[in-house]
Amino acid sequence: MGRGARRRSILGRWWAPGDVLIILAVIAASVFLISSSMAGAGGDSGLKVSISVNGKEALVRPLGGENENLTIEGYQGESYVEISGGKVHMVDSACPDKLCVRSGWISRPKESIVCLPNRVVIEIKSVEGGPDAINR
Amino acid sequence: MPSIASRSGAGVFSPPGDRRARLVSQLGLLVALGLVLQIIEGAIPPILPLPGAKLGLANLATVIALILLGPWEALAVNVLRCLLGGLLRGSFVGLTISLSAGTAATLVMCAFYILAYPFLSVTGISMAGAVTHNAAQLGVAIWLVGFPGLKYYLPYLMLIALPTGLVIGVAAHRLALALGRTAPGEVG
Repeated sequence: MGRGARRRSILGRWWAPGDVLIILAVIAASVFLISSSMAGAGGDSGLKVSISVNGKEALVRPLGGENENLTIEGYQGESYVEISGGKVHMVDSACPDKLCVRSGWISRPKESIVCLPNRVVIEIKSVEGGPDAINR
Repeated sequence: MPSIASRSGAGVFSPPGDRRARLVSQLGLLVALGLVLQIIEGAIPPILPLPGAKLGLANLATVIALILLGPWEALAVNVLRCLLGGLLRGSFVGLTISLSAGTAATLVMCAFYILAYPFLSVTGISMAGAVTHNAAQLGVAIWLVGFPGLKYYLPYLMLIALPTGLVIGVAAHRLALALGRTAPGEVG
């Protein structure tokens, strides 16, 4: 039947040259997305260090960026904070008990170091829209 | 927009008769096929530990409807299958995601079918649909969950869709050939 011949030609082979274009386009788009998200995350773990004094956020630094030594002007004196290799710790603080120094290093979201006498709080937060504890 | 098969007056896998009744029965068959495939797929344990990365067997029914019946019929099969499948699973979030992503994928497949069919094969159309499905699914999930970090997952879901779309496309092609062959005088 004439209709039969037409139907077979319409169904065609199981692949066609255009399919390769689809595959290449999707792979290219994926590679672009992956590389751009990696470039965006390069040196940026999606986390930030928030340091507040007396309840007010004094400064924010990306975690996993450059290593930094910060000096914070606290309630009683100065606190010295070191950011290094994606971790933060209190080097020294103007307090009598040094509990904050003994807290050691923190690196994960929602972890914090508190120096109560000097009213300095170091917290790790996830940047809005970035990867956090759930998907990493 | 009926396909050439339905425009020519005869369905693909049934002898000439009442066109309306034939169309209803063909759609019903394909919807049922999609539902059964969906249930079968649900029984298969996931191979990859990625949520949303599955074979998409149920999409087979939509692809077959597209190439044997036409774009409108494919949309109808997709919407009916998603609604009934959602009721079967009883999850509103699942229904929302599957209906919107499935419809987006079907629209893209219809567009490619109408615009680029001889240049793109069934397999290519199916892969385009699978990629669209996964991307749309992630978009709806981000919108529902309100967690934009999920977008980093997009390229992997798109890459996963290529082999699954390929498998479904090849299967749909072979199945369409076989279905055509079972109706003497239609395919020859």
